[in-house]
Amino acid sequence: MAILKNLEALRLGHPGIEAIAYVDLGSETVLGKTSAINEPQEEFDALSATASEIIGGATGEADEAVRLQATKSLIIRRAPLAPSEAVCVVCAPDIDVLSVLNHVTVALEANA
Amino acid sequence: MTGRKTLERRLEALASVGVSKASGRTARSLGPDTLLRRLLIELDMTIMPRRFTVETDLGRAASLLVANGRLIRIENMVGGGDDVGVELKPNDTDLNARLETQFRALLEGAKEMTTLTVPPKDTVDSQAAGPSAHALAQAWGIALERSDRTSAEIVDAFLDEVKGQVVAALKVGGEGTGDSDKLEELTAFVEARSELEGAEADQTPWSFLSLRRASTASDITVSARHGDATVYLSVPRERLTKIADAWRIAVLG
Repeated sequence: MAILKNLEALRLGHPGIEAIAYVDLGSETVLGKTSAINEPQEEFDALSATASEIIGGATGEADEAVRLQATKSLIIRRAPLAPSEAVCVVCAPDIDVLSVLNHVTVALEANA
Repeated sequence: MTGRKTLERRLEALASVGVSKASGRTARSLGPDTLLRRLLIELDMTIMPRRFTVETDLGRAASLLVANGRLIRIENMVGGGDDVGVELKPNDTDLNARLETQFRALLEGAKEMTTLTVPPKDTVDSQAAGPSAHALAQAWGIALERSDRTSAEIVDAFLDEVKGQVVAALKVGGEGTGDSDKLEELTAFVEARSELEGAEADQTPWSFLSLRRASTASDITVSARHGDATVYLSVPRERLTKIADAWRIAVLG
């Protein structure tokens, strides 16, 4: 999956990014992932379900979302050409969220 | 020139030389130790390595290396001292006492403190571990977590922090301010969200969510809740990082 190469480069270029998953919002399944540590699949499945809930599923109107938590931030960006799919980024709480969103957008566009 | 204007000018200068990850804030003193406490909160919030420049309205300044909520190194400090330029150690009572003297001298009598942060040029050793902001707060007799504020006060502090940056704001159970069209949009959004969420109350102490509701939208919708106090904002997308930082400061501060 070509997008994964772009996402892995994004993760490696941002020390604050822990993991990135490319998910299907409709079926809430993980299509691909890149992570600094070997997290269990269940965590990515849960991430996929959370992303779908936040952004409104495969047909929701939200295009991108940021949820802050005490110890991490979750950034979600819907794929422009495949709206039922999205990129989910788990990162440090103090990361520049707009910068990450913009980089994810570039990665998605490079894949289009 | 006010601290905020000075900060804006410095950020513009940094942006012009390509430092895109620079960010900064100005805090005003609201009584004894408030600036010291605010500085410790900012250190505690900083997980990724950052070079901090701290300046007061009295012209005193310090430069610090911070990571994982810890003070890794003092690169410059008004008055100098033996602790400048060396890796700091955690759990060092004497060091913590010396740092208290230095930081109190830095902020003594100041009415404003400006912090400017940029990623460090060099890689920071992941094993580096100076004193944590929590350890310093304890050693200096400063409470990082405040239990004396209500949720409504925390949300108000957030609104004060982002004043001038939002297009419209709507407090649940309160009044809306700002652009009337955006207020209408926010009201419709809140009503739709209430129907979706029904009676399911969020049990977490606080939540912060931003949504961009169309790929071409220049504004984002932010919902920020602490306890039973919630505010919805319409904000230009390019201010997302600043708004997120402001929320974390309001919750912690």
